[in-house]
Amino acid sequence: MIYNTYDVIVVGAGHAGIEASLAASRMGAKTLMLTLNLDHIGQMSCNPAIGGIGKGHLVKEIDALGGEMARAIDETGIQFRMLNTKKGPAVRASRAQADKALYRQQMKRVLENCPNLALRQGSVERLLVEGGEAKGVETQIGEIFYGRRVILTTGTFLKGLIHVGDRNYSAGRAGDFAVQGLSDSLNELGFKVGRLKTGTCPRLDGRTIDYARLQAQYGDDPPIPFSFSTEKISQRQIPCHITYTNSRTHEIIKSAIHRSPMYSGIIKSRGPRYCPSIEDKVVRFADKERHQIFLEPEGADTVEVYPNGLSTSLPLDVQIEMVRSIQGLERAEIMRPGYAIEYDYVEPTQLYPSLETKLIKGLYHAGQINGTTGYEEAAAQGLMAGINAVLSLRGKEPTILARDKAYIGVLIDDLVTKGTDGEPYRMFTSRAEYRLLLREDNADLRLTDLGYKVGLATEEAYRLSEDKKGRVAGLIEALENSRINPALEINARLESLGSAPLRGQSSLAQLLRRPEISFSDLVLFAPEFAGVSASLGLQAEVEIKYSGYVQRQMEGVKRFRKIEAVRLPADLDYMAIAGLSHEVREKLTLIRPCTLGQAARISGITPAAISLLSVYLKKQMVA
Amino acid sequence: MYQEDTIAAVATPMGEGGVAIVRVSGPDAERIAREIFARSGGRNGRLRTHTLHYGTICEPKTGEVLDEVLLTLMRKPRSYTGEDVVEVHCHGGPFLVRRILELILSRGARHAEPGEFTKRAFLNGRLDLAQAEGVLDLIRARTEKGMRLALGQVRGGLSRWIGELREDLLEILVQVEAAIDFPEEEIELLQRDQLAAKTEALRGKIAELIGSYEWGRLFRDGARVCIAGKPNVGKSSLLNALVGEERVIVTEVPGTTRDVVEESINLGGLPVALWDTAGIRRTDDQVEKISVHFTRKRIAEADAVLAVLDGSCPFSPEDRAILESLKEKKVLIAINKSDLSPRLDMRELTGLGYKETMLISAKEDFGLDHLKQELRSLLLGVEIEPQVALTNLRHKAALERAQASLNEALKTLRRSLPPEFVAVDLRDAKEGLEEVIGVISNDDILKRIFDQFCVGK
Repeated sequence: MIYNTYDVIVVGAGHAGIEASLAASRMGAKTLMLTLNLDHIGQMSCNPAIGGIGKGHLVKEIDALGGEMARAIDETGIQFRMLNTKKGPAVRASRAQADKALYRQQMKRVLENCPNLALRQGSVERLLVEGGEAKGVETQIGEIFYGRRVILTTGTFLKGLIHVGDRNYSAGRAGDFAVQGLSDSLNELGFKVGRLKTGTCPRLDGRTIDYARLQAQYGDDPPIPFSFSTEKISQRQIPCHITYTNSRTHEIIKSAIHRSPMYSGIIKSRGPRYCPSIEDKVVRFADKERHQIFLEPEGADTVEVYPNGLSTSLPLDVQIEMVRSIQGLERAEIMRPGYAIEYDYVEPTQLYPSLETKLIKGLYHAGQINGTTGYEEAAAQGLMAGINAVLSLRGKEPTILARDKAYIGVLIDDLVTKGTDGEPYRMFTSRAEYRLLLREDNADLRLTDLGYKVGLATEEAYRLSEDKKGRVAGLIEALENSRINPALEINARLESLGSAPLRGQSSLAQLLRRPEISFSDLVLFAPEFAGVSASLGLQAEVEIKYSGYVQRQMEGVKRFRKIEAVRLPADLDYMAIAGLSHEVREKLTLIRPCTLGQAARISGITPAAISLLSVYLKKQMVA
Repeated sequence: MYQEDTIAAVATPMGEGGVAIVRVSGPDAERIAREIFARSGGRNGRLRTHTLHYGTICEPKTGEVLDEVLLTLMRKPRSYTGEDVVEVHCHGGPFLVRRILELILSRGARHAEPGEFTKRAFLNGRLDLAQAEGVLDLIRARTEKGMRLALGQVRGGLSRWIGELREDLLEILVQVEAAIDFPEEEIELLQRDQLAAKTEALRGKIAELIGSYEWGRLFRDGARVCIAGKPNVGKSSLLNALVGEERVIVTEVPGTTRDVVEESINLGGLPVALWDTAGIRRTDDQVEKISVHFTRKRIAEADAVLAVLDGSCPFSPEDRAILESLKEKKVLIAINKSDLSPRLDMRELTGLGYKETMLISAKEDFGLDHLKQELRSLLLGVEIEPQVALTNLRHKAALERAQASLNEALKTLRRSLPPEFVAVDLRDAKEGLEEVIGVISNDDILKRIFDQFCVGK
């Protein structure tokens, strides 16, 4: 039974699957998106929000490269907030609450309107492989799809098992079937398949929450969009609310802890430590008197509320008692219980940095199948897998973002080099060595040209970003050359800004170097800069104010690029390099790093081993 | 699968000795041992690891017995190199030892390069970089004290100490990073001034360690002391008196000019090379030339100068020229011939700024013990033995880099810049510390944040 042949088949329609499908079809490849349930495309299985610190950075990068996530959240976001505003520009990050239903509809609309893209409902149970190459997939009813490239974005669906208390049942997430056969198929092909755990909160009925007793948290006014192409947010904005657990909540949890599958030993796999269940928080940080709970609306047209911070897999009766011990939730009804879910993932060290598997040519993995968590991490990988699948169809080199270029580069490099270490991987800014250079505000300047070159970012976006680069340089020069004198009124203004008076003539750039003076303050001294856009001003401000630090990071980048430029041949026989220890040889043979830099980042690879490797390469080159 | 080859060498110094050790390391070590070693009582079978076996070394082809030996097998990874190691303890005649080594080489081992056993230990992760460097120092140690310092390093003393400093640094960095990545969490973090205080304290500890380099270097390489003075003040007899029974090693240092005599003494564990600048004769018009000569060459190189004056003569222009050329040095003034009637005007010395002088008599062996004590404390500074001493220039440079980065971090903190800028400096400092022990890891910080703080809403 042959129904169809495609260039690219994407299995899954979550956040990774969406970006992969859109990237492939937009680049002109005949693409098929296969999903278990066409009504659940772009479902937010956990919290109704996009972005956050490190994650917002990823979304902006996806946008610059020509992905969809930023535009979709701008279209459907009901509360936008910039985080870390009191800190420097590099670690400021966007976050938005989404209207879940609208987000799904928006994504489905975009997919259905995309040329070259077919959508089909079906559960993929088997991968078709011939001569070490992916050839297609087979569904549970025996339907076969042939494809030259296959991208797996299976989320938590591979042998998903939901736990609530001591009860468990098979599901990909609450309300959806799990996929049973596909991970066996991967296992048989020789992939190392592991198991991870994550969890989610119960959903509450907003009509039973006493908001009058709770503190509201409003978004920024005006809301600042994610996408560089969005002019304005038009959804009506809705506040979140904040409440806290208390000693009674903690008592309830502690006295029922033996009924939690995490503590009774039913669940053996590890969950993420940065996203702990409430029972974990209460046990591990017993001296904390209360934990913050954010009540986030799941949408404008629904009463469902997500109590962020209450992730749990305790039995339902304990969940109800626990929820009702919290201020404002005394009468709250649970509409959907919280749960933990275990699922299969495929160890990502089995991937090349292109996200193609080393074992099967033409097979790509993206998203939670690679052991990550988070919609943004998934979307970023989906986008890159989509791009690289099409590039490889065309016989072109894959696009690999370096660690000094993008958070996406840090993410993928960490995954394929270090693996997951048994815990779902989430992005944090501290993972990025060149954090000062990888800002949300310059994602367009860093990546739009790349997105344009592969055929995803629009001509207009490309033109705008190139134009912005030129204007930033011009503005910096203008600020260096504009001088002001220590006039009385100028010094009075400086004093009102909490800044020391001028003693002699100064350039505006010098003034901007003072920590307390921002670009918007400069307009007070030089009205001719009043027309400059905030985003342009910020670029100039960062480069001028933090030039010393930026310079130092650039030095680091230079060293990084030098070692990164040393390519390691794919067929290098590590067993033949004298002096390397056994452990080092085995690791290098397993990971097959593409560059000397990547080799150095593998855990357990000593600096001495890297020196030996580099000497060996030099000798080889001479010979 | 490719295996490392097997290396062998004589581990004890060449020459006649009671016992010599031939060491073999690598995958073939055990096979070679079984081929050439016959256990007493004719027992065959597997050699127990980490056990002394008594037997004979035989030439397998001819059956000729070469020697009665003790042999140990240390199976990997519990051996010096981390590989299978065999040590043959044989009688110490140079000819015999060479024959045993040749026999081993003929069975498939390769002669080890200098330092190759240690190199393998390092590459196999048995020693970290600082420890491996310590082994080399240990081999080169010239006094017991120097040896103990090196041994401390081999056993991980320095690495442990650097590890502790790194812990201190991570503690600060965790605070800074948690503030950046988890601003929405209700976690209690240290305030700016508390961070500055901790950074300051850490910087102090690193400075102390850097300060110990001078100390460590003197013990490792030995101190160089130049005995200076005009002719006939008794320099040579002072040298001989000082050397006396303390003489340890007489080295012929290549490149030393023939006009300098070098003797080595052990000053309470501190190896000291004494340079006597005998043979330099001055004529009236050459006073300046001599002083230039002193200043430019030997004195410049010396760690301290022992200036000798003749107490039985008046202070002369030559004395003055010599003392004036020593302005920049650590100087100890010894007034010799104090057994004779004093004619030296001490006011001349105080006029030149030298207040502390010592009366000695090289001939009568008077005041020499005191002189040695004074010389030792002059060289070492205040005699408080550091817990760990740096002995390696590479370590010092890396620590200086860490120190400079911490200075920057303090500046950044004082300027009230946001935490991500403080983090840049702290991460640089961390790299500096890790350069000494060769650890590179980025994940520690996140792990610590999760362990320490309740994050994740």
